[in-house]
Amino acid sequence: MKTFARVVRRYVLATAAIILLLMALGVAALIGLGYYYGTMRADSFRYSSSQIADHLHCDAQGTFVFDTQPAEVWLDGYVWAMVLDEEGQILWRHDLPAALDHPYTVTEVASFTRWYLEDYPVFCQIRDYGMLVLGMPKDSIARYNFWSAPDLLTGIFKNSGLILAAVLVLILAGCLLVSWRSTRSLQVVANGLDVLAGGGTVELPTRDFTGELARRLNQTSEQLRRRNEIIRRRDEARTNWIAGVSHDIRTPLSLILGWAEQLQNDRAVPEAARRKAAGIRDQSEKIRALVEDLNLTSKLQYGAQPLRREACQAGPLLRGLVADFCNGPLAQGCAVELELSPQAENFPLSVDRALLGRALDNVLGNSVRHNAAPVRCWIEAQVEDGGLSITLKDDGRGYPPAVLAALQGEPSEHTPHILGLHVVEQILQAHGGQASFWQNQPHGCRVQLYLPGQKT
Amino acid sequence: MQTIYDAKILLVDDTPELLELLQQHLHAAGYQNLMAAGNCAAARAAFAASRPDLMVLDINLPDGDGFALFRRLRAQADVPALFLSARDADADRLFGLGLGADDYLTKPFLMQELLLRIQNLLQRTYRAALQRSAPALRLGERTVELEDALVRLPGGGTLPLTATERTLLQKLAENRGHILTYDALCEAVWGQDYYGYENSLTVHIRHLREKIEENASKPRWLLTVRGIGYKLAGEDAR
Repeated sequence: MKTFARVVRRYVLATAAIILLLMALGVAALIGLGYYYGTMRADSFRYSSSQIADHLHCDAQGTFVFDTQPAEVWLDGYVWAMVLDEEGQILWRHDLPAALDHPYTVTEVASFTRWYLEDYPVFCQIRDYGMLVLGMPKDSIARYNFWSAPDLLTGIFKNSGLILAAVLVLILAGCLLVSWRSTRSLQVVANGLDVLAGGGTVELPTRDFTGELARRLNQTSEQLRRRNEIIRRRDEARTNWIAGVSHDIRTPLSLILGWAEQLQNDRAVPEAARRKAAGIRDQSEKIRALVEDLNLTSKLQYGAQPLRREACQAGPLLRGLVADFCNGPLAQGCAVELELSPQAENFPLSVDRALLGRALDNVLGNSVRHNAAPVRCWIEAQVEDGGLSITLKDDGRGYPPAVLAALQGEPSEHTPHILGLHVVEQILQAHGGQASFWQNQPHGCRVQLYLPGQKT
Repeated sequence: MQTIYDAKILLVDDTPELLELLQQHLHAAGYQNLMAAGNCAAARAAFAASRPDLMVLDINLPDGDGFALFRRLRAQADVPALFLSARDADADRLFGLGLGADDYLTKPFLMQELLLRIQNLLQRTYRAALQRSAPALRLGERTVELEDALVRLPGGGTLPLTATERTLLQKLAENRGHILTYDALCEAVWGQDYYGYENSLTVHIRHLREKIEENASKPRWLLTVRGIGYKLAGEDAR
C-alpha cells in the first residue's frame, strides 16, 4: 500500500526535522544562557582584571595609583584588591579584610590563583609592579580548573562537524530502521484491508505491535464472511424460488396458451367466444413474458445469468435480431424499419445475442402491446463515443408520465411495474452499456441503447 | 415423403393434456402421422414399432429424462429432434443442443412458433427428398419450377432463372412468409465471405423480380423489408 510508504517517509523526515530543531534550540539556549549570564556577571563589575591592572601604576615612591579615575570606580564590583611582590609581601591593598592582610607563601599563591582565597573568588594579573589580586564577593563565581591534552582539543575542534554529521546519520538510520520494521507489520494489515475491500476474507497474524489491529480486522473479516454467506444464501434461495415457480408455471401456461389458440382459430366456436379466447391468449402471453422477465431479472441481478458473448458485426446482428422479431407473432401489429449508418454496419461488438435479442423484443413488444395496431417502429444505429448507439422509436402514445418517471429513476410513491424495460436496462448494463427512455417527438416512445465496442 | 406433412412425428410428454393439445394442433396443421408417448418406455416402444421422421421430446419424464431417451433413440437412428421443456436454464439448453438435438423450445410456447420450428426442421432435414417431389412454387398466375430453374408465365412462355436467382428463390421459398436478412441471403449464395456482395444482391433481386412479378416496380411477392432484408409473401398475399 503506497499510503504507508508515504506515511513512513513523512514520519522519518518529521522525526529528523524535530531532532535537528531540538539540537539547534539546545545550541541557541546555550548561547543565550551564556550571553545572559555573561552580561549579568559583566554588569556586576565594570572593568575586567586586565583593564584594572593596566590602569594601576606604581610611582617612584612605591605608591600605587590609578590613572584617569579613582580606585572606587575602577574596582566597582570587586570587594577587595591587593598587589603582591615576588616574595608574597603585600605592596598595596584596597579594602582588604584583616584576615587576608598577611604575607603569602608560594604554596598559598599557587593555590588561590587556581581556586579561591578564603572562599573569595579571585582574579590575578601579573604586571611589572607585581601580581594584582582582585577579590570577588563570596559565592559570586564558580571556578573550575580544566586541563586537556592539546591533541584532544584539536581533534574535537577538527572533527566536531564530522561527529555531528555522523550523529545525524545515525539518528536517521535509527528512525528508518524503526519505521521499516513498523511498516512491515503495518503492510500485513494494509494487505488485509485490501483483501477486505476486494470482498475477500483474511486471517492475519496477531503478533507484533499491530496485533490488536490485526485481531480487529480478523473479527471484521469473519463478520463480513458470515454476512456475505447469509446474503448469498438468501439470493440463491430467492433465485431458486423464482426459477422453481417459473418452471412449475410453464407447463400449465403452455396448456392455457395452446387451448386459447385452438379456440381462437376454431371456426365452429361463436365469434364472441373466439374473441374471449384471443383475450385469454393475449393475457397468457403477457404472463409468459412476465415470468420470463422475472426469471431473467432475478438471474441478472444476482449474477446467475452468464453472459455468452460472441464477436460479431453490428449490421448482421441487428438485422438478424430485428428479422427474428418481425417473424414472430407480435410483429403482426407493427411495421419495423432498420437504418444503419455506414460506420455502424461493420462495427465490431461482443454481445450475448440471445440476451440482446430479448432486450429488443421487450422494447419492440412494448410498442406493439401498448398501442393500437398498426404502430410504426424505427430502429437507427450509429457509432458514437467508441460504441454503438441504437435508437428505437415508435409513433404510438408514448410512455405514461408515471412510467417515464420510474424509468428515469425519479422517486414516486406508486412506482408502476416496468419489469420488461428494467430487464432491458439490466441486459445493457451487463454488457457495459446503458439504456435510457424518452418520449419521442411529436409522439411515441424513444429508447436509446448504448453498447461499447469490442475490446481489441 | 412427398411433403413435410407426411412426416411421422413422435411426441413425448408426461402431461396428457399437453400431449393431446399438441396432437390436435399438429393434426390441424396437416400432419397426419402422429405418435404420442407419456414416458420413456412408451417412447422407446413407439420408436421400435415405427421409426419416426421427427421427435418432439420433453425432458422431465416419470421414468427417466429426455436427454437419456434422446441418446438412446439417436443411437438407433439419426432422427431429428426438438426438445420441448419447462427447463429454461442455459445449461439445459446447451446440454440438449450439445447432445445433437436440432432445436430447443422452452414452455410456455406459442403453438404457432412450435409449428414453424417443426416445419423448418423437416424442410431442412428432408430438403433433398422433398425437392425431388416438390410442387411448383405458385406466385399468383406465375409458377416457378425450382428443379428446372424455370418461371412459367400465364401465356405459356417460360423464363429461365440463373443459378444465383434460383438459389435466392429457393432460400426465400423455404422461409416463405418470413423475413430473410441480407446477410442470410448473401450467405446462401456466396458463402460466409459475403461481405461486399450486398450491392450484387440488390441487382439479382431486381432481375428476379422482373421474372416472377407482374410489375417489378410494385412487387407483390418478393417484398423489401427496409433495412433488414426480403420476404417472399405467402400464397394468400393480396
